[in-house]
Amino acid sequence: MNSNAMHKILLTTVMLLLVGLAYPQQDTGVIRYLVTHDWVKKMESVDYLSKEEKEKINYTWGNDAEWKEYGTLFISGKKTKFEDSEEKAEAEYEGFSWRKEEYYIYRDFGSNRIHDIIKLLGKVYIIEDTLVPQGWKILNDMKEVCGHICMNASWTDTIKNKKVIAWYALDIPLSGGPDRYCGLPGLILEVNVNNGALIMTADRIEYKDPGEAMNFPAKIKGKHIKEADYIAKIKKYIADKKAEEEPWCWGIRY
Amino acid sequence: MDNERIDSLSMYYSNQIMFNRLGAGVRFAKNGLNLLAGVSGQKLDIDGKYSLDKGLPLLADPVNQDYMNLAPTLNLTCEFKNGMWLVSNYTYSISEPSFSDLQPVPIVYSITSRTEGNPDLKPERTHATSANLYYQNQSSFASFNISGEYNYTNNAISYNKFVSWVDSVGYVTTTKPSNSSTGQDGRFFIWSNFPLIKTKLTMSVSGNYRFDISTANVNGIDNRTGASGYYANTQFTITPGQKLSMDINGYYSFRNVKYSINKEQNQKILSCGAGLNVKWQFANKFFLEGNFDYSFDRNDLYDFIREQPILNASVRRLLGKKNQFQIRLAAFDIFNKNVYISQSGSQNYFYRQISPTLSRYFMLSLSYNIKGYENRVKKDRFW
Repeated sequence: MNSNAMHKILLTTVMLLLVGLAYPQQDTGVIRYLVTHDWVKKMESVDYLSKEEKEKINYTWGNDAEWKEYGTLFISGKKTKFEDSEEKAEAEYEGFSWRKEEYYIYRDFGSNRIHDIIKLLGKVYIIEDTLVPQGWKILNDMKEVCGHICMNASWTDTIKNKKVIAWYALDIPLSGGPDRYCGLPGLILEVNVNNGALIMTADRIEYKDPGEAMNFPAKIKGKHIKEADYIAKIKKYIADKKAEEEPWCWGIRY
Repeated sequence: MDNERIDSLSMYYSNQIMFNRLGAGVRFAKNGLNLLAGVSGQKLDIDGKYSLDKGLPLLADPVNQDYMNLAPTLNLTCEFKNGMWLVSNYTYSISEPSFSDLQPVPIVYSITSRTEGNPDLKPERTHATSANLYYQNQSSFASFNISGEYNYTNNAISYNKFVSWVDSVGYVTTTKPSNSSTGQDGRFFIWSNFPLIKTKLTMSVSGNYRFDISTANVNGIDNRTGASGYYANTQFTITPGQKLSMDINGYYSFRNVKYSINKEQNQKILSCGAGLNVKWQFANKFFLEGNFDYSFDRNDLYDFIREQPILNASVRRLLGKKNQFQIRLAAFDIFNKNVYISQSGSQNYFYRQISPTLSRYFMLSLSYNIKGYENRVKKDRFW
């Protein structure tokens, strides 16, 4: 371990100790994340388009490429659950209802287990396995997100070809986060994928008991698979879409 | 005659239309089910004045029509659990007659043809229904769509013809719009796209059926025209790699037009064809592209049979380190057979156009693209 890495770990530890003294620890909460998609920036990650074609897409659609929605993270002790929110983030979609997709991400940091219910390519899968967090590289930038001082970390997803920057709260010592992101020393309050192609940022934190919202949804049937099976399905789909020269991010989550 | 006004062919008119609409709707939206029901009241006031010139006495009584209507609407949008969508609509629309159809002063196109307006025209009232069912399987890359629409029109405006013989002139045709009893038309579409060999061979099929029933009057006798027809198309897309892309397609189209008072004018229009499109990168920076389309048109009433083989081909080469230049030699309609053909029938007329159009030619072009051309065969996808 080089001296630079040691320096970052020491700095992080000191910061965590300091903010841990300053704030009471919270073990229940409901966090709303504003999820902003930018489909033009998502197209940057496909490799069958030339640089010129990507630029053309950007020139044509770059100013009208975003759409927003909400996601909710429920926290209860060492367990978290993330799901899409039915609350509309954009006024123009008020009054219209999409079917809520099966996407429930459960993490138990006490037993180190995952229990995810995910609709993938039209089929519902129940993924039960050991929790293996992303291999984060701790960085040393800091910023405030939703009233909390956060530090950043990066991770590169080689399957979906995306670079992820996560901002985790120094004063909320829980390894959870939005979507399937977790494994940092503090709760992840913001995730930025591929320079703004997808941004999930906490905009409301309520320290309250999520109650029944933590429960598994009733009446959901799906095929039980392991995390490796899930990854294999994603890999195959992305390879097929690449051969078809169509963006994979229309069919599966970015 | 330049810039001189011809009083016998000129008119000064002033038209005003006032459209007021007030409506309300209720919406139910829950877990993919969206239902909208609404109703609106609409008031149309049409005023038209016609004189020889500004400030001169009116040529005819002014057009002054007020229309008050209630127009309901229904919309259902449903997202099913399996990725299927259903969108269905019902609207009741009221279309006011156009000023040109209302104006009481005739328009004379020539000594054998004139149009008269009808100030007593009522608005067309149309019940329009449509439904669209769409399914896409993200995993298999297959998609399917079936849709249909049906329109029923009361007080349909049709253009009645009065044909009379005038000595020393010949047949003179006067066209005048009027509200016929009803009109109906419907369309039904289906298409599907699915891979036979994933990412290599895709099959697409599509088809439609359409009909149109309309009434128009000729010399006081109602003519009811029924036109119906169908169309079917199949296409195979072959993309074995980044060097070659091919489409093979075939289509068949048939249309039957029937008239109630002049049955000898009934006609059956047949059109079919097949095509092949090829894009081939046969060497680094060299491309051969071509398409061959064979079409066959037949209309027994006119003993019309036409076969058209159309072949276009081009070879191009990219030049420069960044492929910014492209030189292309292209030959269009190599067999010199291209003719424009269009045939259709409705109300009290049949339309048939066969005309020469741009046919065989060759083109040598040099193009420059500041960002460079791609040195591969691209699939024609939506990105």
